[in-house]
Amino acid sequence: MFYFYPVLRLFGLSFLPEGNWDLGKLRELVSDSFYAQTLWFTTWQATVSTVLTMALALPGAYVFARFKFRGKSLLQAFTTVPFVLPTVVVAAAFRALLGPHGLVNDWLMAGFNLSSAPIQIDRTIWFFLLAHIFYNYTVVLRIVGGFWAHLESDLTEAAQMLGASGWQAFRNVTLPLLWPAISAAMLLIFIFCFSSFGVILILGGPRFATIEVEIYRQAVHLFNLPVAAALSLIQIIFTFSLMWIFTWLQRKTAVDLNPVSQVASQVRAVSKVQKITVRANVCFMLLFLGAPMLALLIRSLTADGGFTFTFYTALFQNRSQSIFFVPPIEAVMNSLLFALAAMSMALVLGTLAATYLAGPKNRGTSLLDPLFMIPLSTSAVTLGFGFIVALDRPPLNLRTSVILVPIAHTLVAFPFVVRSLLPALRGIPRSLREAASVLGASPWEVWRTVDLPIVGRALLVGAVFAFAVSLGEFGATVFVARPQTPTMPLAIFRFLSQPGSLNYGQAMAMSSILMLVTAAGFLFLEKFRIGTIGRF
Amino acid sequence: MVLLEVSNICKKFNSKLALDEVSFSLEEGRILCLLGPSGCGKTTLLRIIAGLEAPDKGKVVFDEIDIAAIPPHRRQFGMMFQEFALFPHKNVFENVAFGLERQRRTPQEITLLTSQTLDLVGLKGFGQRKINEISGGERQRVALARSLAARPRLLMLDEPLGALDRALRERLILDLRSILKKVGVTAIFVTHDQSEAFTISDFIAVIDRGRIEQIAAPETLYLRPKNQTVARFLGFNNFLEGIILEDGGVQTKIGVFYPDSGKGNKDDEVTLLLRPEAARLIDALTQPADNETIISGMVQERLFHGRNYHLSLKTETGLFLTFEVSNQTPPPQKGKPIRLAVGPAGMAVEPVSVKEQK
Repeated sequence: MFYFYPVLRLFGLSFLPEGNWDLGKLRELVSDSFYAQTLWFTTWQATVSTVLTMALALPGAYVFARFKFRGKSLLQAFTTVPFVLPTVVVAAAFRALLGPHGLVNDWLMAGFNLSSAPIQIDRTIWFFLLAHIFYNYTVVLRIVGGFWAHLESDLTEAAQMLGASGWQAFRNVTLPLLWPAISAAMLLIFIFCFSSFGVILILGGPRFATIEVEIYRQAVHLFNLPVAAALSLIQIIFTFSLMWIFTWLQRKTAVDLNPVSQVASQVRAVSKVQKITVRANVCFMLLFLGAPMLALLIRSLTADGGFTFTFYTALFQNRSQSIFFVPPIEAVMNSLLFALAAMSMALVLGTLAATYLAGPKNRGTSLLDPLFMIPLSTSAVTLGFGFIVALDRPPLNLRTSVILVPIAHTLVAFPFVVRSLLPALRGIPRSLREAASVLGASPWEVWRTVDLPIVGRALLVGAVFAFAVSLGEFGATVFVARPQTPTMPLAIFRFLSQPGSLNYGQAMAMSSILMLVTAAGFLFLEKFRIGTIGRF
Repeated sequence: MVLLEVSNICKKFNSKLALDEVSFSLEEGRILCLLGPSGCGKTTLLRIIAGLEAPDKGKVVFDEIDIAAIPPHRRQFGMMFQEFALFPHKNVFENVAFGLERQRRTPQEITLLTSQTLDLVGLKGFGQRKINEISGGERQRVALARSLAARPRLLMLDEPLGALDRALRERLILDLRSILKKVGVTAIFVTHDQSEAFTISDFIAVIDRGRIEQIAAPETLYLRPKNQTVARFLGFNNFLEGIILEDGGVQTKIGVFYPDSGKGNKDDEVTLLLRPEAARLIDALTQPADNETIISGMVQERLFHGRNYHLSLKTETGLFLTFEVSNQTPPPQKGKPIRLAVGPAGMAVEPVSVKEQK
């Protein structure tokens, strides 16, 4: 079991030092009302985000599950893009749309001759709640919609034949069957929002602090490492238990039901109500998910009302005299290199881990399954923080090493690879491997000739996921990246936190590049997506 | 020559006994069928022989070598799986060639042997088809070709027709036997369908709850089932308890029967089996022939099955019996009295050894 040793070791190293401090600090924390408030706020905003997302996205999931319409697959691919966008880009996009100098405000001000921006949601709760919904919309669409599409419509029909009204059939048949998927989606969204960092840091401003943001502040601004460590620990415990529930739920959802081919269960919208439902949802998706991205692009291309490439060209010049300043184009190069390195490492580790998990069920696999999800649930900030705390002394003194960034990215990307591969590997009937074995293939040959070719696409999905995750990773990178080697999200963050329209424009430009790269990667992936692979 | 010798195999799953002291041997070139209801342990036995499971106890000796330590991929056995387990990412040719490639044959040999095997199963020219482009029957043939191509020393077939519809099954089972016999391969065939078993095998082992109840040639099994378990599994339902008389007849509640294959001594308690096809319809006036016994009763059910009628009747003593009678003379309607004559010849009656142990 050599392969997950490095992972565990990294975890051990990053968490153990904290373990020594936490007891006293933990008590302090609990008694301090400010932190209790932070915890309360974190939970509160995560709950509200989750509920709002569910409310807005469930109709969309229904439409996707039950109806056929033109451009559906394209739209489906499109809705995935927000989810894979780096948080920094999402934040930047929302600023570009609704910020004080955002598109909508500019238009409204120009249109009605207002002296001040009419929409004042910058630095309010609504701003990042919106961003959270934007971000997680597709999670509902994927998990619930996918599950819904596989539910036999016979069941609803059978209920109706037995005298249930449409609503009763939904409540008594569809909803209970969907419940595992819904709860899994809710849990996942909750976890994401709970450990939300970039969005709140950039959109929420100093007034709001989730635990994640507080960890960052304590560690970076106040240098109060023990408090930060204790906070991380609380968060890890919290998210890990949620994650454990999630994998448990997911395993439950995986068994039931005989899946029907989606085509059979989907119809064209016929009646007026159906047509309106479909159109309304499609419009909502396009508007809600598309507008911020479009605003970002427009913002990056306009200055003082004119069309310009200034911001893009500015990316290649060093205007600042700061010694820490690195030409932005170098950040792009850094990002790409880190992403490549992280992708390869995550692929190797992820493949090994998934192969182990897909093997015979035992205590090891049921324990490790959620364990491998830790990096996904552990906030990136905690991870980055753990890195600098743990790796700054022998035997592993990597604090100053560039290698730290790809390693951190690998850990963040690793669960995505595992999640993409696992369903594919589990989906291979045991008899296929046995057939190969009886025909004379050694275990290694079985893996090479049966497993590998069949999960090839899933591997590709995992690779692009890993690449995109690394490209957009912000929370951990903020800690571990050397000032001389920033990545794209870091550069965007710097631009955003500096005043001036040029900086703002450059942030928009770089966000646009990052968005296009990730979006292109994922649209490319949609072509290769098969079945449930790539969902998690 | 005995090729395979299985002795005292035991296997538990979650403390439930799946195989209980199973022993049998198989000669080279013969086809043995493991017949039993689902969950009786027949597939487990097959997987143990293939090396896919390890027995808790017992020995598998193949060609005079104990093969316990040999992993499945070194045994040079062939196996046809229930759902065929064809590799979806390979085409027909690549599937069939898989075993040959593992033997490190030259490309020429692989091409030659693969196409020969495809010819043998009647799939000439199918090599480049994809697995999801061919029909169920064709898949079955590909699976057979794949397990035969590498010339296995022992071929195992795990309900190879289970996934197909009835009409196709009946056609393919005959092809299967002729192909297996043409190749001359020693084979073990697992099924729960007795007609399949009768068609394909040289010997049948009836397995129930992890134990082999009887191994015999199909005719012997049909004519002389060793006990009620075997008989019931062959579809026989008419059992009568009786005592052997001095003249060899068996005294039962509904009369004396004269089985032609009776064994046992006077006063032995036996269970008499009346095969469903053993009865013929006679009218109220006709006298039975010598050694025939008359059964009279009321028709409970009368179903037309084309070639024959399925009758169930209740005797005067309250016994329920079922028979298949020829469609030449239509039997009386439901609720009407009926007379049947049951003769001793061949398929008439069969004492089922000594009375079942309770």
